[in-house]
Amino acid sequence: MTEQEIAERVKKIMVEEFELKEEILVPTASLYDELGLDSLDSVDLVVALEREFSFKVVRNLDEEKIRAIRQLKDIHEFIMEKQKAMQGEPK
Amino acid sequence: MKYDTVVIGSGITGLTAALVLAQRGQRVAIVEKNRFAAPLLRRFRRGGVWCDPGFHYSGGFEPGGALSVIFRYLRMGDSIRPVPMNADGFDILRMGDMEVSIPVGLDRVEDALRAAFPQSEKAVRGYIEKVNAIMSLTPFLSFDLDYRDFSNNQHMIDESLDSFLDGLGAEKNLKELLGQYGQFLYGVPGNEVPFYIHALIMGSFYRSSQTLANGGDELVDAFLHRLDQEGVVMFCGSPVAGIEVDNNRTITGVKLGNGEMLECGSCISTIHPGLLVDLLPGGAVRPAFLSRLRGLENTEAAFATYLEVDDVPARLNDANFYRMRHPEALTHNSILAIMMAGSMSHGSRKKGLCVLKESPNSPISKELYGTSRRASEYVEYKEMETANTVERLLECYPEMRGKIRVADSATPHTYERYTGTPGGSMYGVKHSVNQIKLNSMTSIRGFYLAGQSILMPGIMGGAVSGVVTAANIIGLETVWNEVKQWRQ
Repeated sequence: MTEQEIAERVKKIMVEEFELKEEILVPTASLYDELGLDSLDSVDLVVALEREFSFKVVRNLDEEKIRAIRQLKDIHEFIMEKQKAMQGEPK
Repeated sequence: MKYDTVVIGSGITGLTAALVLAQRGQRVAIVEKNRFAAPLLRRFRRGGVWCDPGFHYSGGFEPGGALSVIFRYLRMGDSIRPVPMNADGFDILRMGDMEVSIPVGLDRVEDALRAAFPQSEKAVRGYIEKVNAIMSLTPFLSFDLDYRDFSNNQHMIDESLDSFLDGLGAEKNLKELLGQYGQFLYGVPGNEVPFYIHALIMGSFYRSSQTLANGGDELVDAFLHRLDQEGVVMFCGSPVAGIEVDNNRTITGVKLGNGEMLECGSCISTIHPGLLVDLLPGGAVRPAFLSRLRGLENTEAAFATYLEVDDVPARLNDANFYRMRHPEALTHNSILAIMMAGSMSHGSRKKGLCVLKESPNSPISKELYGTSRRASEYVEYKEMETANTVERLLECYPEMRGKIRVADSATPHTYERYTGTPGGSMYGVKHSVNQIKLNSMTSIRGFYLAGQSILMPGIMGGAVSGVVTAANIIGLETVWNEVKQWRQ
């Protein structure tokens, strides 16, 4: 999946599952200050991303990375990374 | 009348939370959809034997144990009299030709497992050490801790039991045995259960497993008496129709099926979280939260068969017997648990036995069960499963042939009917490495989730969840310091 495709699907989640307006969903939008998400939302977001992109967040492994997510584009990068890691896994 | 807190559900968590709050002076109401309180904890009588659908035995009843401290703090200590089980083997586990008796005390469990699995001696030691370590870091399993330790979750590692045991080099059958044993007590297989959940639950059983002379009734009676003393109002036969939330996403009340509105400042929901999808008003939470509730994966259900027996095999008087799935066996692919006869025979001339069987898939649809409980397909299914359970029991105890009569059985549908838990799931939402834990806090101010789906499965997990959630409302530091005073 390209970064563009990922961005589109994340945007769709943000609109449908978090009731955010599409026009504010720019890559540099800050999740907390600009999009108004809080810490409870961020867990729901992780669950929604897990479902959409079929990966599992591993707490010990991913916690730091998730905590470092600030902007929409950080989510895209995180998903890219997860997908790369998944491709490396033996089936 | 406005309540400080409305508690939804009168299971162990709801009863505990309500009493903690009422003891601290809150005006509290409990709402329960069934005609009577705590339907899963309550026993019922069939053909002269007591049938206990929910409570069989638990850890935490020893002096200084989580349940005994909580019940003393709730001034119920005198009404609850735990009965110790066989200290040399309260649970007898049979897998294939192997049989292991689990004794009381972690040191002795270590000895028993080492004797059964000599090749995994080091793994067994590592396992028991880690169980001990995790318990010592967990409030209620240790009362030496400070209230600030509640937020320490470093030991709550997301590693599965299987992967942890692999790391210790445990042999396959040891892994299989511990995995299945635990699965029956918390509903999650070894490759999915986070090791710390396994450690907390199994560790509390290892420390001390006890039952109650009057089964679950003993808990319910003690609670109802104390709740009445503290002025808690109980609405039975009152299903919740909706949670009322204002424009600031703050709880304002709970609406009952008969239209009655219970205004409240806070609300604790102890029902299965998935049921909230139909109760939360539009706009109160984000769609993402509802999607998450809809997608929750649950633990498996069980099929319970209650028997009247002429004679109980001696060792079932004070011990449970587990028939595990054999790793290589193709048939009998479900765990069978025969619950000790003690509490079912108490105060009764007839002897009883409860046999639980894992029951993942019922062929009966919810609609069919709902339309008429006596639909022939349902009756047929119930009879077939009962007969199968009896056959499995007789394979384990052939001497009982001709000496047992079926008093009744409870299907997953029966459990769902009384508890509301989807599919009649035994332990609610799966605590799994593949599923992120739900938080007790929600984005609705004053609305909390509690119960075995949130914190930890079982009677002990449910009671602890009740205390912790109430404490989140009135102050964790205060409540914890009060609770700790009752440890001696």
